[in-house]
Amino acid sequence: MIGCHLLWLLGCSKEEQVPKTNDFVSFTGKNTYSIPSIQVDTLCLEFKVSEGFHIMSDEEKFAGITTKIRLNTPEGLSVGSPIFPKPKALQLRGATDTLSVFENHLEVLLPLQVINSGKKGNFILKGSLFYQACDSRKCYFPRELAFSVQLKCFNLSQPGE
Amino acid sequence: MKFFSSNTPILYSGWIVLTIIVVAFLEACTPSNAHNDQLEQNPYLGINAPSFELPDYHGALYNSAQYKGKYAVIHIATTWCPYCNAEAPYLEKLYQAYKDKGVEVLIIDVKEDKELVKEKLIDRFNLSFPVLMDADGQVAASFAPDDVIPELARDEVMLAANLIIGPEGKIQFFSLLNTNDFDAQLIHLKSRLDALLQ
Repeated sequence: MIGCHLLWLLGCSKEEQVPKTNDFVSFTGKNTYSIPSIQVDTLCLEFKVSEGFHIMSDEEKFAGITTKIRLNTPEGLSVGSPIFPKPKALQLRGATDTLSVFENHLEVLLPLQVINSGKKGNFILKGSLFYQACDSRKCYFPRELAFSVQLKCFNLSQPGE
Repeated sequence: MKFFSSNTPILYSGWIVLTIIVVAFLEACTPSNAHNDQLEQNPYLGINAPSFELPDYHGALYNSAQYKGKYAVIHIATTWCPYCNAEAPYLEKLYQAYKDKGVEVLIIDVKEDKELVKEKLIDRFNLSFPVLMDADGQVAASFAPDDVIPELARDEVMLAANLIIGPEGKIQFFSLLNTNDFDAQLIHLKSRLDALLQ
């Protein structure tokens, strides 16, 4: 009985999980958002950093590749600078260096304002998250995660969804 | 005789706890896996290192053949790799300590603009040894074993790796980045170098 437990436990401890090469960050936000016409609003873009991974934060003071949001802003929509959350300080094992990173859930706020909603009253906001990830084994070349959200305008007198 | 009694759950839990304690004790007594791999199980030791010819920041060409007869410590890096940056000062210290013993040090920088390399690596860490520009990553890739994380690009596998090439051109030390056992101060590499220089 002890031998079986021992063998089972050793087998589990020796098993390494090989990371998938591009499965570092995923977009977990909604596909469609309602935004008021004219009034400034804030869009929350949600991402999930895969378990065991971290990505460099947006803070420029560090030498690494910072996380950025790149946007293809459609005409009629004004988008402000992305607002990133407070990063986590990560001490490198075996070194004195400290990294500024994002882990787990990442919410990026985008201030935006509809300037001209046009006839359709909808926008497709396309963008990408540019980031550089490391995990417990390696650091990886920068990746870029594309995302796309539909923005449906509503007048304030007619509440959105 | 009943095989299972009312005390079976308690006994079973006790064996599991005992097993966990034994395994934890064995793991604690076992030296670092990275160190073990390096000294005992590394299949890449003793094989001929790939040849290369790369320019430094000034355009001067460095050929692997010019390191024959010497020990060459090679670190494969990018300016944005945090572990490479953590090692860089210790590579310079190592070079200063060993250059009079026939040891050369060089960094192979992967796929970056040379002005960026000069600013973020050479000048930032005041490196006095050659930093070579591997513009397409092919040289870094040539060092990567085929069977290590095969789904990754070969040059990506080699980021933050350290090697020692012996005077006859054979690999004498090969260490891939393990962030769980990161050796920024190059203790294992220096230990191996000291053993080779005896």
